[in-house]
Amino acid sequence: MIVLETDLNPPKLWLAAVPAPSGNSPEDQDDDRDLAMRSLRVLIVEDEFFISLDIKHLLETLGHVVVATAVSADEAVKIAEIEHPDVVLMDIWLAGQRDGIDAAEDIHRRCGIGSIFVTANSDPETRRRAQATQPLGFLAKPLTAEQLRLALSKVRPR
Amino acid sequence: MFMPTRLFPYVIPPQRIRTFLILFAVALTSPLVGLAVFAFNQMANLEEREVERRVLQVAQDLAGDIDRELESATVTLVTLGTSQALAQRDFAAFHAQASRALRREEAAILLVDHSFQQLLNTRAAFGASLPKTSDIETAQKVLDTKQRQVSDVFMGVISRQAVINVEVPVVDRESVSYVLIMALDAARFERMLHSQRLESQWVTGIADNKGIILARSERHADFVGKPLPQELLEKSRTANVVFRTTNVEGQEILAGTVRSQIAGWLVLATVQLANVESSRRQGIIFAATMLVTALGLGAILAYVFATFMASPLQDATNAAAAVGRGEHVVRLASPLVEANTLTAALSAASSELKRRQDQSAFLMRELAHRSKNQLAVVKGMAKQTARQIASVDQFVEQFDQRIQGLAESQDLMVQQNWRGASLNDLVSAHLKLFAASPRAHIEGPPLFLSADAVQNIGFALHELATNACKHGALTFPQGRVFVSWRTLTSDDRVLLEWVERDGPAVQPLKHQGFGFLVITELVARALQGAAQLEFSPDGIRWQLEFPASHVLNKDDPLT
Repeated sequence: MIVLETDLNPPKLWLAAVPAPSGNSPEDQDDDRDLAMRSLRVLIVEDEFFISLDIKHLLETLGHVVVATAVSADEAVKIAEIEHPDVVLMDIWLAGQRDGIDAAEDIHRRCGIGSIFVTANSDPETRRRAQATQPLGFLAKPLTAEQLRLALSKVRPR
Repeated sequence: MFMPTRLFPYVIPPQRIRTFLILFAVALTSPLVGLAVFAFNQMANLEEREVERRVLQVAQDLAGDIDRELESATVTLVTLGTSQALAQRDFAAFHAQASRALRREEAAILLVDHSFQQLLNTRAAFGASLPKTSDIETAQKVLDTKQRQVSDVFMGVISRQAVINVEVPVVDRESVSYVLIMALDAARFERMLHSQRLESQWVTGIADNKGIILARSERHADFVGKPLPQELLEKSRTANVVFRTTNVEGQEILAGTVRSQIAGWLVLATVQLANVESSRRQGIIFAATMLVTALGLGAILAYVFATFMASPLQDATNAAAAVGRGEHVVRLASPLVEANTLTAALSAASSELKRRQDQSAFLMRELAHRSKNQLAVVKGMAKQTARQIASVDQFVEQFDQRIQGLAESQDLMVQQNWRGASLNDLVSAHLKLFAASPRAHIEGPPLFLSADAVQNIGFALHELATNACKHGALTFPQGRVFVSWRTLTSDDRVLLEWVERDGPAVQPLKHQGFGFLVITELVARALQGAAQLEFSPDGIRWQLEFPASHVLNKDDPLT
């Protein structure tokens, strides 16, 4: 089981978009503790089922609810419009014509839902495109429970 | 490998094409320029020979005129010498006869006896008192030789003019009785000189045997009776010569001299050297101007054509450098075919280079992504396997097999640069992993699947083969597996079928494990298709239907 520590050092793979904790101030600790308690409704977009099952398991372990797993951009947009999750964990490289960045942009525009990109590796050009959609965060594959917890701790339920 | 021709590799250090083009032009023009200069020099010499020939010709013509004049005078005198009046010593009649014969003004006929006393002179009236002839020397020669004689120039006693005498003997019974003389004014010869009608730069003249000027076409009055310059006289000793000297006016001249056959006088035709030189100089200036103009025009044309060559080659060189820097090069449309060929090749090479760079970059990105993603897949695979398993040994066995299956799929994709793999190869590879190939029947059209389809169908095939070996048809020696696929043209989908025969009696599963989830749900969802598993008594029948969008044209370029 994951032990929630309040005075975490930011993990090395933590990738920018979510502001790094500024220190161990009591205010920050309170905030973390508050957010850790909340359960989020999460949409997973991932075309590799071994990975999506793993992420689903991690999320459930952290106390969140997985509303669905989508395997393509179009499917992700469709489900987001129906389920209105709090956040989308979005793989960038998806099978099909459109990639995760397109889907994230669409979902944000249509439903106002933010995405956290989960990607194995991205070239600078892809990264620039992803950054332009103002994502809630970037996570590197393979995911750890800790990274996921920290990324989701900044997301507020809708 | 193509090896270029090595031309004088050590003799000539490398030069730019412009240098060789200049050398080429110089090599081509210098012999021509040399030839032109030589030819012009020859022409100038010929022209000078022509002037010299003309000088001599004029002198010869004049000498001919003079000789004809003297001959005519002789004929008149000889005719008069046979006159009846003279024979009868009727001098009065002879005076009249001689005066009639002498129609010309600048002449007189004289008759002298042995004592050189003038017996008559047509310039004086008959009977007038006359002195002795002033040219005793010539008259003496006539008496001595009984031959015609022509005098040198002297001052006539009566005419007070410069004159010459033509004298013939009057023979009476083998002895000379008188000397008959025709005195001709030197002015006559001056007019004869003018009759040649020469250009102004010509000066002609006649000098007697002593070198005294008898007539001159220019300033006759000033020079008649004056001696010729010594040098001119010396050089004139040989007859029919042309030479350079100074005339009485002190001018540099080209002179031709001929001697009169009858009188032995020097006949001179001269032209001022200044004129000859100036015409020669004009010729040189003209020829030089022509040569410089021709060279200039040639140089301009050479420059234009050289630019046609050098400029495209420079462009091609720049293009080659650009290819070296990895830039794209467009093919050239220049006037030089070779340069166009070169840049076309460079353009193709740069495009190919770009294509390979792009492909290489794509593969690197793909590889980086895939390897990380596969780690995540393996991690997920490990966790999912672990969740279903009771003992560590069992986990190791199942996880090991799944990793092997993943590796098979991956091997096929690596062979195709991660683009995908053929469905036939995929099925064969997974059956081979379980040594099931001899008992499997594989049938279907060639289909090239996308990478994600290969991986997912690979998972399904792996779980199916595992199940067949553990619980299905392959547990029996006679058990067989039929794998087939076909495209459903009606709705653009592909149907893949796994059918087991001659195995143990099939019973629906009591415990549905992770493998069951993979073949019935997960793979189908990942491919946005549908899967169906039937437990018929003959064996299981599994069907997977997925969109044909997962099928690629094998020859499509990388995207």
